[in-house]
Amino acid sequence: MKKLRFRNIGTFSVLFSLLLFCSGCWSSKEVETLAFVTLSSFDYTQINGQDFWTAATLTMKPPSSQGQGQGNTSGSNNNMEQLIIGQGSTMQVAIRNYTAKLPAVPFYGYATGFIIGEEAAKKKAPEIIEHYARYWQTRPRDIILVCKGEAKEILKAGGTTDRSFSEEVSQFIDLQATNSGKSYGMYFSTFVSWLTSTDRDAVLPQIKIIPLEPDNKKSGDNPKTEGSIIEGLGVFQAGHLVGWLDQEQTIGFLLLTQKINKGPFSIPVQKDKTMFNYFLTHSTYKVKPVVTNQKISYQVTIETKGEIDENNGLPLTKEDIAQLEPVISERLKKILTATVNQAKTYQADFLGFSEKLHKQDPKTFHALGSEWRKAFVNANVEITVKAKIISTGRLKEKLVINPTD
Amino acid sequence: MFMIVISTAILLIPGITAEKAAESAWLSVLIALAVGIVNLMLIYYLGKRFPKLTLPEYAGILLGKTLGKVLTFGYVLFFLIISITVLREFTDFLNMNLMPETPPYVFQTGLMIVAAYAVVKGIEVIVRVNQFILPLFILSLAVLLALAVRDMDLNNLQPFLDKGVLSVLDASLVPIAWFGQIVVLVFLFPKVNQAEDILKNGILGIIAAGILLTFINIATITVFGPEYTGEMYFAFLYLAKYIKFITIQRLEFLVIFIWVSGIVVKVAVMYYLETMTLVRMFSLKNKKYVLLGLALLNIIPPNLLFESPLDVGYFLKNIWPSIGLTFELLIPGLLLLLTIIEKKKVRRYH
Repeated sequence: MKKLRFRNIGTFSVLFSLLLFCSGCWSSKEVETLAFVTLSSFDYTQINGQDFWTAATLTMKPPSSQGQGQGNTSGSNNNMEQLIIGQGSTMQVAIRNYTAKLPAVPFYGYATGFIIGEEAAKKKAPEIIEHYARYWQTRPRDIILVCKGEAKEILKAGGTTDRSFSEEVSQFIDLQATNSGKSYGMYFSTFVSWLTSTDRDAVLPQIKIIPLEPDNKKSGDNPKTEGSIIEGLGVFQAGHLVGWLDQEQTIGFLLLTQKINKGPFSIPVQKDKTMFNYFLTHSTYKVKPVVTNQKISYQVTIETKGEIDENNGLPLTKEDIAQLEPVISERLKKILTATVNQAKTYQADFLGFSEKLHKQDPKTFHALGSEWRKAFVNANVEITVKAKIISTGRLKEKLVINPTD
Repeated sequence: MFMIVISTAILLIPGITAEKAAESAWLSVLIALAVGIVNLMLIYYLGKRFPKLTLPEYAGILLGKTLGKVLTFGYVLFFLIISITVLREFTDFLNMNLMPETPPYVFQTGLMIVAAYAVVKGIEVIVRVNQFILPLFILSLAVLLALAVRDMDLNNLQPFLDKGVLSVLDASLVPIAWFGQIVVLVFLFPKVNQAEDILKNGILGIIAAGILLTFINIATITVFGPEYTGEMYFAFLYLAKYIKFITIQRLEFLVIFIWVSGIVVKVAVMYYLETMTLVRMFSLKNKKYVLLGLALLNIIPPNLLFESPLDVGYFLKNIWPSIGLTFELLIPGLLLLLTIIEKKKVRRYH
């Protein structure tokens, strides 16, 4: 009897495994028949009142063709990726048109993400995001970037190193964007979560084209003169791109919205006409909404820790450090104030202040209704910065160099 | 019981409850848990009054032969609705996330063959398979939830009750109907070896399912925010796709294992109850034809009744709670009331 039961369970397990592993044979594909998409871009414009989309994509070249034709590529993809462009009246038509140029089936399961062009981000970002979110191969950790001008130009320009462009970009977002203070490591799901939230606006890391240093240019008939780097942020209000944050404002955004513990951010500070550098390694932030007589204000407290190892000749005794800290605090306060003012100019609460108000005082927030952005613009923001210098590197007060005779 | 409740709930409940109750959706699951325990007690005390009989048998005693058969047939339809919906959810999940080109009938037929084998071999085989799957199921869920912790932002759970208490109560209707599927016990009561332990073990099972489901709800809301979670069909699958811990990623295969294995058990139980109830109801000697007929009734309608996943979503949110609560709470409740009124009749069957 027991034997029989085990046989039954065994047969059941075999049938179950067959169901689990074999029922998808219809959807199976050979690797050789797939074109692995690594990074895509969407551009949009209107021509004679008609929508005009450009979808571009980088796909991995088949191993046999990698390394051929060095110095003869359209971009910086270092012969690992090839650029394919399609155009059409809808996003899908544009995608279908670039698909027609591929001998294999595009596969997005290993794509790193996509870039939105300026015009598309201004006018059609919600549509692009919704389309991407509905697609079954989209992954929540796909990266998403925005650029000035056309996004396909970024794909053409490629990266700045010898690695594949998509790998370069995704690694920078994963490891460097937030930690270096250059931009923000945004993923698709976080961006959608911010876009769909009822109390905050969103930002996207900005990718831009730069001229390449001579060492990085490829030799040959067609040398590579441009590459792309991630720097700064694009600001979205109600799902549409409304402006940009420069380098300092990006640092301001990070300090006002993140707990920094992996820096350092390099912040140049001036004291008595001498420039030195504050390496910000840690920071905490506290945003406290205060509602008095139906007037909303925010008390922001930022505490930072960092070190000075580029002192430009400034002595670093205990007394000197005590004098430098207020100077750094003042400099950081200026950066933060500029960021808050920029947010108010764009009427976009990407700093999450209204979100804080919503969570702390939902009654007041709901009373604002659709005017919550206006309330943020009118709110007084009081910023307090306490900057500490916790290290001066491996040296003490000053490295005394003997003058030559 | 645990598997019947949680196997399909893990993927669908977070999206459905977050759509209505936003950041407080997790509370709706806890409310459902409490109602589920009440439901179990109701079923237990009803079954205890007829320890050797199943619902079709004592429904005839309490309501008369004709009404008893009508009620029993109603339950067969109820189980059929559950299995048809589950089969459609199963194919939608695989078509939308994994194998878009495979025809739905392939998945449904494959699953029904496995379920039919289990039904032919009896409830014990289904239970033993469940015993084998259960630890793997819980372990997979625990791994996924543990790895999601570092991406959770608990601030997303605030402000508490932002949409009001009513929205949470409204959101709890769907999970209440889900927990109510433990009503299968009224058909299995005489088959349980230690009937006196049903209440204790059942409550433990419901609490475990409720707590796990609450954690799953909290995890999806804290990672994706309430609004985005509410927009998704399969929020928990998306969470598994999001998890990245050092080099550990692409863990959705665990969700697929959980989902497929859980659904096989659930469909097998429903199929078993449909078959055995019909066989007993019409005193049939050969159950093969019933099995075949019911297999066709399970495979064909999912694609005819629901044109798209939108229809399934609409059914689960708007129609299913009233059907579920009628068969899971109302009818057993009324039958229990009848047993109290007609004490003499009941005493004979102890």
